[in-house]
Amino acid sequence: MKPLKGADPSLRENLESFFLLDPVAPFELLFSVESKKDPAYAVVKALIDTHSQVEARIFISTETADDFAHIGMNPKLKNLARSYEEAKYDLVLISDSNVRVDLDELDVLVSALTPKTGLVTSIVAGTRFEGLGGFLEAVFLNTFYARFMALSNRYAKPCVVGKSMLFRRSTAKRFGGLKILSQFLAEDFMAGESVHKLGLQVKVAARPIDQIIGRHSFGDFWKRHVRWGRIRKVHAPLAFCFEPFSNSAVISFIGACALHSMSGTPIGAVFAGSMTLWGALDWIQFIRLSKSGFVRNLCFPIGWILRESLAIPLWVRILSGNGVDWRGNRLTLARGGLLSDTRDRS
Amino acid sequence: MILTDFHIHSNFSDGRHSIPEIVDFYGSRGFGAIAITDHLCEESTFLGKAAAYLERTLTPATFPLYLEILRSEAERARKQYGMTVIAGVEITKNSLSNHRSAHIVGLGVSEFTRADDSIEDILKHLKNQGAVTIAAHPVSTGKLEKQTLHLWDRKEELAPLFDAWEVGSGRHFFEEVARSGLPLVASTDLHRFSQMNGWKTFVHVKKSERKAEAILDAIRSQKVSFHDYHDAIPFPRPALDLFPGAHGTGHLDAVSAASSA
Repeated sequence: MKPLKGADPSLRENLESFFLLDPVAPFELLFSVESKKDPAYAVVKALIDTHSQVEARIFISTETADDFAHIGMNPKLKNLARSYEEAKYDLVLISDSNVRVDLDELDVLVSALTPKTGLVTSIVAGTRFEGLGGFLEAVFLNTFYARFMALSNRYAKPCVVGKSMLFRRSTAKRFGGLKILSQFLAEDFMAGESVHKLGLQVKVAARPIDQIIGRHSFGDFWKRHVRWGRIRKVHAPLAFCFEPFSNSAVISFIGACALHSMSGTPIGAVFAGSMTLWGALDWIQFIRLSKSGFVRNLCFPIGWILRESLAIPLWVRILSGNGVDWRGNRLTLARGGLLSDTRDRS
Repeated sequence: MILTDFHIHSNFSDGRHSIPEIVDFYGSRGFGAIAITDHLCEESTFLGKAAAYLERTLTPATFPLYLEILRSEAERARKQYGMTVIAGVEITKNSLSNHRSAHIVGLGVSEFTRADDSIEDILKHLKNQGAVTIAAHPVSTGKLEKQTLHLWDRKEELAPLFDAWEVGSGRHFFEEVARSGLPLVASTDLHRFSQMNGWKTFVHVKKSERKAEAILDAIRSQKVSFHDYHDAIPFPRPALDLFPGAHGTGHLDAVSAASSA
């Protein structure tokens, strides 16, 4: 299931990768757009004509909006509601428009399913980035976010990324399905939470999925991460309070001071050593996930220093309100992540 | 007559197990009805806020999900085990003082109730939903742990608003409550399966009439009796058992007191 809005230059290639999937079992592709005027509509239409051997349908969500009045304010799920209802199979994969998959992606995802698994998600690898915002986005996704997601799923709470969610509709029905999830902006986080409440596991697929970042300005980067941060803040306020302590500079400084007080080691040297080691490990992770060329990989230290420097100002900005922009919609997050009205009360 | 447990916590508050795990646990032991009663704490007090931060309470955000899972699990429990699952809450007003702390169990809820309201308003709101109201562990357990004594301090004034008072809570039997002449109920206050042994309620309804409404009516009209339950099915115990032989031998001990009603 592909909820779509607008068309960036990479949309056609991204969507086409789904038409080319190895069919491990019979599958269908369901696309959702708000109206036929949406540029994504023409792209999908052309792809369906080109790949007529693949079972694919396109739904216009506004045409049947009245039938789905029980769906909450979440714009993505409002768009998706009809195709979700009309899907032929129990097992569904909801995947964002900027995701590009390999031929065997279904095999990779389905092989993570066990009887105790409620949902399979993937770590997101940011690739094909352009502009300062795109570069920072790639650094952010391929270092902090990938690490955070892997650790969270292994040792703490389930952390689901909406870029790729595989689950059974019969499982979702047990917790109220889209009706419940659509009350929240972070439907992905809540899907993980709901599965966890059912006593089922969230699994991370064995291979990351590629998110095609494309061109982004610094403003795009900043807005997106304010949104993500505010979602984290309302859903897991305690963890958010401690987020600054996951910043390399903060924790290296604390560690350097602690070592200095215990053994007199120079603060500056320990701080520099810790930052260098941290940066080197992030660099390795970035090279493996971003699949960038030599020159872009070489620029990583600049992007990394910039991103790490932005972490605390970003955290302060996140703290200062509960309003978020989501694809042109202005939404306000209430406590627990519930969507309220469209005005930012901050 | 059916065996019941009306005070159980799940992973929606401070319980260890998920609702489906609890349903399977009780269903496989032949229980006729259970109620999941997760904590619903005040939103304005420090302790209530701490509970919300630590995800140890139901909130307006999680309550609809809680009801949905209870609805689907009630359906499964009925089909798979012939067991009735009732949606409940434990309204939790905690204070540093035991005499200002009160826990109220509501059985058969369908709406979110604000724990910040006065006790009278909370009870009124629960009653308006058709819920049964129970004063949870109203007297001291005699142990060094948090006590909730406020409701007992005001029992004459609040008695008309409660359908029942807990006379047994887990392994504790409250003689003072049993002698009071108030309507009674006994439950486990279960947070993990190892706490299973202890006081339970037999509700006197026909097995064919075990719908939630009939069970709640039976509590109101006190068609109940109480039993000290010992688990017949072994549950997973720690690998290293320091006190072998200290556990129950595994039988349903039906020796105990009948309801005072």
